[in-house]
Amino acid sequence: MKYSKGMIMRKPYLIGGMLIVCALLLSGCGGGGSSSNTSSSSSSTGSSAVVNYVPVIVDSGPAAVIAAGYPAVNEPFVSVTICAPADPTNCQTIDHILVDTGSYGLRILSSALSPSLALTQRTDASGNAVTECTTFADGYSWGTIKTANLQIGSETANGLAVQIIGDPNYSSIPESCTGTGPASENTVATFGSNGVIGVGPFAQDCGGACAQSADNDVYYSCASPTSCQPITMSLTQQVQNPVSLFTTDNNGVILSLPAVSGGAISLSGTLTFGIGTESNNGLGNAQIYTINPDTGYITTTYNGASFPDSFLDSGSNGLYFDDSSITQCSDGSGFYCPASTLSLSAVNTGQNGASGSINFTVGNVDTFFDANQSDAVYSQLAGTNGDPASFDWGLPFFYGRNVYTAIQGSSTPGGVGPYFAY
Amino acid sequence: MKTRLSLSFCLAAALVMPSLAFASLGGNIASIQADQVQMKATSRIASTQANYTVHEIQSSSGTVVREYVAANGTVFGVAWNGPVVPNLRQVLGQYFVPFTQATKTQQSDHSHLLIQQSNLVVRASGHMRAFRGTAYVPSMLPQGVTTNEIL
Repeated sequence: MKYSKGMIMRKPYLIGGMLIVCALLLSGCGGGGSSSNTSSSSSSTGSSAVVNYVPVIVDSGPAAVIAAGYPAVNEPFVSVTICAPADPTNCQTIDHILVDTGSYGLRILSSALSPSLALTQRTDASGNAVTECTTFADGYSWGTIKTANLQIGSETANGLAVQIIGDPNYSSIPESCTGTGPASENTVATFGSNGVIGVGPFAQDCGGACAQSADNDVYYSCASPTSCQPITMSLTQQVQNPVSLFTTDNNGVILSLPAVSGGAISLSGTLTFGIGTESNNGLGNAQIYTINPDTGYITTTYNGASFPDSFLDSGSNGLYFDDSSITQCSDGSGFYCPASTLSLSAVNTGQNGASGSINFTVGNVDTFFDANQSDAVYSQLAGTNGDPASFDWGLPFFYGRNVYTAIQGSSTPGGVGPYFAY
Repeated sequence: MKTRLSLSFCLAAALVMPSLAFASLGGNIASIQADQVQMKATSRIASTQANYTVHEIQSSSGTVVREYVAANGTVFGVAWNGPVVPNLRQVLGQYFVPFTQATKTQQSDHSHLLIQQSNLVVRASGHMRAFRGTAYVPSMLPQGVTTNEIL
């Protein structure tokens, strides 16, 4: 998100200090019969301990993002380690990779990579370089598809297709890509982070649409850097959700963040890999909400109205829903600025009929950031959606919860994905 | 003997949008019908309201584009919904460049886009595999039409 109030006159913090809560909130046992463990978690030698989790930090983002005047708010980041397939000792750890349940696949800004990290360019049957146009609501990212070995925690995914955004060797962007959004997001500053790890409920970024048709203008074959044509891309050749390529703990993820009352300078949490595969990732008493297998939508009911195109989106930095009774901020930003904090509730319903209510709070965005300019965490951040059918449950929903995302087609103790659970 | 004009239309590397009964935001339906090409029409009239008509175009990607057409044929609003974002150059027409030059509101991030200007309002949202958006020209809204009707 791009939140900046412009003026930077430091005021004494009303919420002091850094809230660091190491948040491994998960109950010890898997719910409903644990799956048999063939992983090394039962090893007693300790030589290959499973570390199926990594720390998550919610802070202002990489230096380039802060320097651009748009410090991150409510964005969860992890670090990933990338190695060259040809030389597994040639590795680099990149910080501030956005954890995104709304996308699928690993994408890294070229400028965040060391030039000495020699990843392999993917080519198509004609020997042409494969590139990709990735679309977001606010822009597009163009980059080459390269092969890399990923290591995160003790999980590894070798031969992973990774999108290298803003590859300087492929800087000419086809019109069919630039026509998908208002602006490019090919730098760390415009993208908002050093990259994104899409761990949402699908196994590939495009799915059947790109396997069947080149008309989607997602994948391209480049005979030269200035001559790229859209192509189809089979499911296995698409950019995959990296979790699905782990050798174990590959059926989903859990994003755990502590509860926050108001805001904080930063926050620490955990991203855990696997659902019901280790002793630390059982479903416990989480309720499963199955989702639309094409879109990932769940249904939210709020104020007596149904929002059938709703979603749990850790890559979104607020709760976005249309409610004309809530005062909007006067600057036309689309955020909400009620006179006093609102305590509200909604009900989420899965395709399986599972249903549960959620209490949430909407605060005054302007008042908060006037008083807490340096906070990268604000649990009451909300605004309009623009789509009356959609309630976007962004990161504030994740505060104080363990949110499970099960990948389509993957078996879990709670059933086959895709689903969300919390 | 009349020779039939053979139109060579370039299979542009873009979402295949039949130009039959398709006009861009701010454009006029009538002007397009004059150069109908012999393409398979995948557009249809989705609904007819008191003072506007909704045309719906189904693209081969699965994305649906709707055009909101006033009685005089002006496209005052457009909406899209589907697994990929359509070619906004085509959908927004003369408003594409203003779209790229507009200041995004602070709310804009990977999942949201909000542009609110006197001559153009664009709202886009969604996530990978499920994108939606609407765009309209405030001054072109027929009387009595609320923006909530553009979906």
